[in-house]
Amino acid sequence: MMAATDDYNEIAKVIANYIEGAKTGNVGLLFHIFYEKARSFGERPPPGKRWDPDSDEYLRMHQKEEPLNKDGKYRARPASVKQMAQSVTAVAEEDGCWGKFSFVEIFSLSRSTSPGGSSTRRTSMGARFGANVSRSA
Amino acid sequence: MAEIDDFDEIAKVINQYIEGAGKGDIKLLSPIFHEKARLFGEGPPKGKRYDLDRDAYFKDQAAAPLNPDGRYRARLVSVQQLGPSAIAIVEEDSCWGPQNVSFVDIFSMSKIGSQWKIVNKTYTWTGGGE
Repeated sequence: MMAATDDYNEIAKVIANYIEGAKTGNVGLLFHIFYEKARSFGERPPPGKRWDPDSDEYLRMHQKEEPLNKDGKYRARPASVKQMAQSVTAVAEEDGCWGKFSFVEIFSLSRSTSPGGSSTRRTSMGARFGANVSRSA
Repeated sequence: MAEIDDFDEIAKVINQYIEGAGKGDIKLLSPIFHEKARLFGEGPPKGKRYDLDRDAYFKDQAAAPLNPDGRYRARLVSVQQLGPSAIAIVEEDSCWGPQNVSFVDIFSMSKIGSQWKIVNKTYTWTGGGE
């Protein structure tokens, strides 16, 4: 019974680090939670523009561009976590990105155990994809 | 209507996955997976990671179809759509016949133009195979 609670806490920590990293533009926080082969899939403003970067390009974007909370309007919350043993989907909602954009993010997470099956765990995001880009009124 | 149409399209993609994985038929799998899609998961056996790009995954799937003896069963158990992004969950039993392996698959999907594509497969091994 404890395992699921521990996992939930770990997953929540990963998502909280994502939100903090994206909010402040802290690439160091994001680097540690994304698996090196992760990709992001989705559309960015303007509507219809695809953006499917690998993790390097995604992190470079965060380094280059202004943080999502550049004017203090960014708000984000985890909306759901669905765990199936070592695999998880987590949904996060973000408003006020760069002042005026909203996104819904779906994260796929995978937990790896060490080859010997010890209790060492690492939960990382294998994919991030979001869309529902909307301009706030 | 749009959401029903999307659901039908997503279900069609998943059914094509089930048929393609069962037969190990890359011609069925190739059009439904984004070229940069990846697979993430662990086992069997316990502790062995399979974090593969699309082509490596296809190679494995072609070499070992999930339904060599007609026992493989799979069904779509949930779809959650958020605009042009979706999560589909599939349960698979009796994979690789006598090995009787079971999985739960989480497919991340993205609507690109008018077409739904699988952009990521994260699986959990839930039984058999050891």
